[in-house]
Formats: sequence, C-alpha cells, structure tokens
Amino acid sequence: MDEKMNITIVYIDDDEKMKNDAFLDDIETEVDGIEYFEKPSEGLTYIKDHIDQNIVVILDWKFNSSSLQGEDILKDIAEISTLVPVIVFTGARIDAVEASKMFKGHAFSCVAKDATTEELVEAIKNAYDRIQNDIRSVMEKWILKQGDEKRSKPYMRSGDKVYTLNDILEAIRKQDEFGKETTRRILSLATELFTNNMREK
Amino acid sequence: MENDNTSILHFKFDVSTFRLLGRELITDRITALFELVKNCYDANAENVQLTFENLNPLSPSSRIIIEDDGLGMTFEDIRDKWMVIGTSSKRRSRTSPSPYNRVVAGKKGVGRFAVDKLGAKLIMKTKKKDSLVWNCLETDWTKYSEEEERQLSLDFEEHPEQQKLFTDIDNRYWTELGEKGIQGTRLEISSLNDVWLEKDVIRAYKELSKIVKPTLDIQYPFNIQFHVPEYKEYDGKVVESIVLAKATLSYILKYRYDEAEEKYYQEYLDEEKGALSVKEKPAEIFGPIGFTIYYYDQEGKKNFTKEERIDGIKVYRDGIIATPFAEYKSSRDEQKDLFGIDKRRWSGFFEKLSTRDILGWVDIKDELNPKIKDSTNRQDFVDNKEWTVLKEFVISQIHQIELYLKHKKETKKKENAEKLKKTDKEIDEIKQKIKRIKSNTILASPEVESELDDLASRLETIKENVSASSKDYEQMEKDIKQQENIMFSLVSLQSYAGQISHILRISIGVIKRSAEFVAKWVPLGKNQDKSVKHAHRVFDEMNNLSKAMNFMLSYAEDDSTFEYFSVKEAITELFEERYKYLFEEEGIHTEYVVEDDFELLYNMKAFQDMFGNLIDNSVKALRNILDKRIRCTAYKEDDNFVVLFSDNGPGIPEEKRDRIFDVFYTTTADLGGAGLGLYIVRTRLKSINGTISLEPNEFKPTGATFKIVIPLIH
Amino acid sequence: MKLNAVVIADDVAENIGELCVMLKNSTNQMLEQFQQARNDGVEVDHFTYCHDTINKHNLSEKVSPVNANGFLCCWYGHGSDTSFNMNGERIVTTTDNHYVFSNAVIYTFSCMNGGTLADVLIDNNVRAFVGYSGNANCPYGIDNVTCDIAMSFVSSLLSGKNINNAVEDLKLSYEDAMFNEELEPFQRSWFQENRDGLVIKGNGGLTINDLLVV
Repeated sequence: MDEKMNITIVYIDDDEKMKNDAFLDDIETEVDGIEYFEKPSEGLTYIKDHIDQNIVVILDWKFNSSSLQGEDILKDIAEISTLVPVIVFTGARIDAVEASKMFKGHAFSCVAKDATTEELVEAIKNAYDRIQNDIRSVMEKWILKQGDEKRSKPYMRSGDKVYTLNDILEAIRKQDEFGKETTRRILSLATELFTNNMREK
Repeated sequence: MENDNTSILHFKFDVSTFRLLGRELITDRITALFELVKNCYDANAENVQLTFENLNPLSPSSRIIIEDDGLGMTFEDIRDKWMVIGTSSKRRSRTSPSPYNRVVAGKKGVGRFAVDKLGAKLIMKTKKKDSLVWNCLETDWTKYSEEEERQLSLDFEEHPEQQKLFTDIDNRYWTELGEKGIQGTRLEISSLNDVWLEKDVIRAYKELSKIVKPTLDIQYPFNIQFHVPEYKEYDGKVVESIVLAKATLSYILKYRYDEAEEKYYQEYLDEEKGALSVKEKPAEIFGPIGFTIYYYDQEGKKNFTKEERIDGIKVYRDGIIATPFAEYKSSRDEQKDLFGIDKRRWSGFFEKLSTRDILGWVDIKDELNPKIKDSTNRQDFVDNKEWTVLKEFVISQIHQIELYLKHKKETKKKENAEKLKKTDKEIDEIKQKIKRIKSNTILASPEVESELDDLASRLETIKENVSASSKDYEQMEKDIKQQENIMFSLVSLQSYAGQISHILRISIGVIKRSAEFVAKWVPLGKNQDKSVKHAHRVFDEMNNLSKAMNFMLSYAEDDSTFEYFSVKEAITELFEERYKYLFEEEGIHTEYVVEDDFELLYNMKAFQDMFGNLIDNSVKALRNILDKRIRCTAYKEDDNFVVLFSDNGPGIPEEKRDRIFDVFYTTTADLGGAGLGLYIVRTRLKSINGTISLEPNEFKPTGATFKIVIPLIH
Repeated sequence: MKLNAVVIADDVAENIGELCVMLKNSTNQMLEQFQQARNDGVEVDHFTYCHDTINKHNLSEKVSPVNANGFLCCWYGHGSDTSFNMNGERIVTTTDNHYVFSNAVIYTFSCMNGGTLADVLIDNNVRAFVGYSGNANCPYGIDNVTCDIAMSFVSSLLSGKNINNAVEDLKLSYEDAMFNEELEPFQRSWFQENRDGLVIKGNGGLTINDLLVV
C-alpha cells in the first residue's frame, strides 16, 4: 500500500447520497482528511480558509437548486488559487462544449460518475503528484515554510515596485503577469542548474 | 457615300401624357389617398391630418387636405424630384432617414400623380425644419386637359408650332414666410373629381388602418387623424391599427399608484368560471408594469400579411424596444421566445396558445422596474428572481386567456351536445304530432296518410342520423383526449430520457464502487461495517435503477390501456387489498375516506402506482414511530378532484421542501429511500394536468401531508 | 597620467538608496586602491555626485570638464529604457544631457539603460557602455552580495582587462551567486536575470589605459 498522501479532499456535490460513496470510504486512510460539502459556498469558504494546506477538490458539475454551477465554482476556486487541482466529477454528458468549459476554468482532470473507485483514486493520485512536483507548488511550499514574519517583509525590488514573499505567493497562486514571470525565472534557474552550465573555476 | 446631314432627336411628351401617368397606376381614389399617406410615413411624419370638406355635393370649396409633420422638401427637392417623372429616389434607400428607419411604404414615384385621381387642382406647401420659407407649388391638371382640348380643335398640319407639350405647361411656384423649427408638407386638393359619400370615407378609414402597425416602436409613432365635419362619426377619429382592431380578444392591463397607501397596484386578468375579468392586486416584485395582449383566432389571423407577424410578447423599456435580441431574425425559429410561451405546449398541446396566436408587449420603466436588466451579453435579461417572476406573470396571464377559451370551447361543446339532444327530442315530438294527425279521422285520407307515413319514415332516418352523429361526436372527443394524453406521455418521455442518462451514470457509478469496495475488503477481513453498508447500497441502487427503467417502460407499453376507471375503486383497492398486509405487518393504522368519485381516463395501474409511491415513502418515514398513521381523504372541490395523503412521520425539514420533487432526491437514503418516487408522481400527474404539493401537515406534532389535485373532465 | 572618474549615485533613490551609496563607496574605494597599486604614477581624479550635488540642469557643467578626453563614469540609481534618474528626476534622457558623456566608458547598475538610452549615448560619442537591457534586480537583505557582484566588473577593468573580459568576470560573479546554495532560490533566479540582461555597447576592446589622459 502506498504511503499516505498529505492532502485533504474537498468533495462538493449536492446529491446527498454521494456523501456515503464507496470511493470516499476507500481512500479515507490514504489521505489526511475528507471534507464533504453539499453547498458550494461552504466548500469555497473552506478552501479559502485552508489554502495553505494541500487540497484536492472533487467537484460535481451540475447543481440542482443552486444558482452556482460547476463552471462558476471552478472560476471561484481559480480566483483563490490556480494551484488547487480540481477534479470534475460528473454524471452529465461530457461533450466538447462542457469539456472546454472545464479546461478553460483550469480543471485538472475530469472523471465520469460511473467510474470505478480505482479510476477515481488514480485521478486523486495524479492531482497529488502535481501538488508535489509542479514547480509552482514547490515555490508555494517554500514560501509557506518561511514563517509569517519573513513573509510579510519587503523581499524584492523591481523597478519601483516592492514585493513581499506574501505578494509573490499570491502572484504565483493567481498566475498573474508577475506570478508567471517569477515562475519562468525559477524554471530558468532550475534548467541552468540542471544542465550545469557552470564553468570551471 | 456618307450622309453628313445628321441631327439628334428627342422624345417629346404629348400633353395627354398626364393621363397615362399615374392614372393607370392608381386605379381608384382610395388607393390614391393611401399612396399619399404612405408618402407621409416615408417622410418620417408622426402626425397626419386628413381633412375632408364639403364632400357632398361637390362645390368649388370641396377640398381634401393631407397635412403631415414629416421632413418636408426644399426647392431643389421639388424641382429635381417632385417635378421629375419616374424618379426612384425613394427606392435608393429602402428605409426612411434615421432615427426613424421606417421601411419605405410608398410606391415608386407615383405620389404626385395620385393627386390627380382625387382632384384637378393641387396646392402643395412644404417646408424643411431649418428653412424660413414654405415652398409652394400649384399644379392645375385642368390646364393640361384644356390644352388637350385646344389641340383637338387645332389643325396640326397647319400650326405645328402651336402644339404645346406636356413639359410646356406652367406650374406656378412661390414662397411664403414660415417659422424655423416647423416642418412638414401640406397637400390641398380641390376641384374634386368625385363626390365622397360616407361609405367612401369609411372605406378610406379602413384602408388607412392597414398602414398603422401595432406599436413596433413606440418612440416613433405614426398617427392619422380624420377631420370630416360632414360625417360626425368619423370627425376627429384617429385611425387605429387594423391589426389591433381585428384582434379576437384584447386586454390592456395598467398599474396605478395609491397616494394614501404609497404603493402600486397592478391590474391582472383572472379567469373564473368561464368569465375573464380584470382585477387588481399589489404590484409584484418586478415592479408595476403595463401589459398589452391581443389574441387572434383563425379568423383574426387572416388580416395579417406575411410582413406583419403575430409573434408573441415583446418588452419595451421607457417606450423603446428592450428585446432587440429577440427581434428581426430572418427565420421565425431564430426569434427568441423569451417567455417560453411555446415551450409550455408540451403539456396540453391542444389548449395552449403559441407565439403565433398572441401579440403584445410588456411596458417597463427603468425607475419602476430596475431589476429587469439586460445581461452583459445583451442577448437576454439577467436571470434573477424578478425576471423569473415576471415571466411567470406573463405566462399566467396567457394561461387565463387559455382557460377562458377552453371554457368557451367546452360550453360550445355542451351546447352542441344539448342541441343534438334537443333535436332528438323535437323529432320525437314531430313524430307524435304525425301520429295524432293520422289518428284524427277528420283530416285523414289515404293521400294524407301516405304523405304522413312518408314523413314519419324520413323522420326516423333523420333521428338515426342524429343519434349516430351524437355518438360520433362523443367518440371523437374521447379520441382527441386520448391523443393528447399520448402526446404528452411521449413528451414526458422525451424530457425524462434526457435525465435518464444522468441518472444511469450516477446509479451505475454508485453500484460499481460499492460493489468494488465489498469485493476488495471482505476477502481481507477488514472494514466489516462499511462493507455491509455498501452491500446494502448496491441493492438499493439497483432497485432505483429498476424503478427508473420501469417508469420508462411503462410509456413504451401499449397505449390501449388508457381507459376510464373509477378513482374511488382504484384507491380503495390499494388500501383494502394491495397494501393491506404491509400495513398490518408494519402496524400502520390507516384511514381512508373517498367522499366523491369520478371517472378518470388514464392507465389505472399507473395511477395506483402514484399512490403506491406515497405509501412506500410513508412506510419508510414511519419506521421509528410508535403510533403509526396514514390518512387519505379524497373529495371533489369545484372542478377538481382533491386527494390529501398524510402520515405522522418526522415530516420534511424546511430546507428540503423545495427539493423533494427533484429526481433522485431522498431524505431516507440511509433507509434505502429510492429518491425517485415523488418525481415520478409529479410527472405522472402532469400528464393528466394534475399537481402535487406539500401542505402543512395534518398530523401533529410532526408529519407530512401531500395534496394531489386532478382537474375533472366532463 | 591621470584617470578621470565620475560616479553618480542616487543616494535617495526610492527603495535602493542605500545600495547605491554602497556601490558608490565601493567604487571609490576601488579607485583609491587602483591609484595606490599603479606604480607608474597614475593619479585618479574622482568626482562623486549625489542628489544634493547634481541635477538635470547642472549635470552638463559638472561633467563637461572631463569629457574632452576619456573618462570612466559609473551610474547607480533608477533607470528606464530612455532615462537615468536622480532623486526622482530624469537627469539623462535620450534628448537631454545625452551629449555630455563623450569619450566616457559608462558602467551602470540601473534598470534598462542598456536599451535605447545606450544607443543614443553611443551615437553621442560615448566610447563604451555596460549596463542592463532589463531589470537590474537587487533582492532585499543581501545588498552586500549584490554590491560585491557589481564591483567585480570595476575590479577587473581596473586590473587591466578589457571591457569584454571584465564583463565576462561580472557574469561569472552572477553565476557564483546562482549556484550559491546559501542564497535563496528566488534571489538566485533574479541574479540569473541580471546576468542574462547584461549588455555591452560600443567598443568592448577598450582597457583602462585607453582612458588615461595626460
């Protein structure tokens, strides 16, 4: 059996019976925790409050009575952080239109509701890998490790702008221009280190 | 050898040309008038005053005056357009100058000759807004015909130079002072050709009402007003759109502001017992609105041309069309049915009105109805509560009209049925009379008797025919009803089919994963409790699936199982036979009272299944209750059959109440609740125009009460 | 023989004032050492200007005395593609004071001067220009590291290497920082950006001796 993944699953689905679905029972022991939300707004609040933890979201796509649909919730999650992998879990027909909505909205992957537990767990594992290995997550983690005090001090000057590590964290999560640029810079450094362009002294 | 004696020749117009022009194009004076008014429309006029003076008998003071407030003409316009034969300036642009952008109504360049059809003399005065003078032109067709006369008496061969041409006749032009800011054209026609009787004026009025369109654009109206001192009924009358005038039914609902109470009241239509009346209630959350609605039956529709379409309800905000996105689409189908009028036709196809039957508009104001907003993509209104409720209001109003029409139709049917019966009776009475005549020895004679016999036998035939017709009529009604039911069943199926794949995928997923869990952990001897839970889950979900399947299959069954059955018997059978043992086993005390009865045309088993669903739900809900009770009462109330179904279980929590009829919703999941029951019940009821709703619970302190309402058929 | 050197440092530059002062002081120190180390009697006349002594209007008069012949000029402060700033003012732009630096070898630690401004300067007889086409990043808290790196050019140039080689040394300094595991990843990535943004315009083959005047 694989070692535990330190992630919290946040499962948002308005169909109450899914609360007891077998796949949740199955992965219970392999993750840090599972949080189930029938109301999307509550799920979003949880994600916002726990953004510094590793979260993998499993998101239903069609909501019956809520005015928020999967598409909207996906957008809201991306606004908190694009680094949270969202697995869309849907019983609806996945056609090109719906699929494009999912991926435009930065969904990580999509699983049909008639999937086996194995398939679901695989999707979750992939999401976990992404959290572990994506350079942005790595950057995020490094910053989170620096401690509150250091993170709120000025860290970097560029032109006439000053950035703290928290600013950089947010930028990386939002993947705005500066966030993208910083990511590119780190990748560039990593590439050079990797190919060891260092000249002999 | 070349001939260097060349010259150029031109066509000339003989003076009698004026007869050729126009007169052939415009065959009568009503058409002439029509064309002239169309010109006013094309000149962006908003008001046209049409005056008829001294029409009968004719005199030098007989006049027709057409006066408009349109764009007017400059001297150059007169010289280069009005006075030039065959100009197509109107045709170069098919719409009038903005912002009116009216689709041009008038025919190619014939306006000026139309005048001749009405009278011999024309004085035209026209002015553009920023001009200081009125441009005036006098055309006297008598001069042309005089010249014509004169030429007839001439000897052309002798005096060719005295021949005047059409183009040589003078038309006097002058200017008169005017005010800046005023614009328009005034045509004063005198030396009228014909007497105008009242019926001629009426005809003119009718024709002109075809120009006035129902308000396509309230901001740029077009009003024609008649001034006819001699025919009082039409004096001062404003021409009303024929389209609106010919509506079979028309209603204009307004709102008012109550100063004392400081609130708005809204007029609305209410159908009650076959009468449609306008009532008043406090304005709804979307704010007070004006609502105009016209209904056209087959007859009424005949007055429409292809260009003018009956096409549903539009929305105007502060007088300007607010639904441009719903307008002017090339294909009918592309036009948006904002209110979903046509969508409802899926339930009760034969009774519902479509966008081809009604025309109307909702008048909203920015300050009174702020929540009705355009969405950012400008293709719809923002989908908020206010818009939803407004749509419901509009639909409910249309529905009132539908109910009214339905009632009328049924009354008619009843009357026809009555008539047939009466005819039957009358025939019998006639037969009796014949018998009496025959037995009256005074009148009897062999000839008379044989005539009477003949009559009697013919009557017999007629009576048989009437009987047969009656029966046919009844049968036809039944057939129609059945067709309707089938139609709806099919459509229910259609919409259900859409849901089914969703249901399937979810159910199958649940079953798969739960089975997977059991298969994985039981051999390992771990997760005992959970495995049991999931085994149950598999079982329950399979039940769900099979219910869903059966529901679908029931529609695929042979439709001849639609029959008339007694509702009382159906319900009684459920309680006294089918569920009797279950109730005993579960220790449920049942009470059912079916006060009235009626015959329902439906599939009896499907009907019973509905109640079966409710019973199943209640049985589950009562699991943990000590003193279990189920109560079912049924009775007639007005035109409906009402069933109240209650249990004294825990009831349904507040926050779940609007979701209990959703597909797959269940509060008893842990008890193996199917989650399909109420959805099926509601859908089945819809197909017979019935409803189910949750009512305040009869049993105290807790319980659930459902109210089923089925409309009666005669 | 004499070396004229002009150091212009924006000591009140927003956010980077202290670093500029550090750069200025280190530069002056190096110039002192240069004078002492040269045993052929070369003097160094170095003129240092900060916000209180130089502005847009007097810059020309301050620098003109030395621009008839070669001189070394160092700029430390905020910059853009078309200007170098002092105390929030654009004291050298593509149209202002751009002609004042004839015969100079300009070395900057400022953002983006290596673009259009450098081209205009070269057109106006600047002999060589070393600066950055993009950002000149200076992470907070490690100014001394940044300063040492920046000074490696000056040191190499003063030791006799030509401009091209001195810039190579500068690049190596940046690379040392990039590979220095005691620095933080972001910081190292910004030094990489600096290195990749270095530009040399004009005559890269010049040495310090070419700037000596009689």
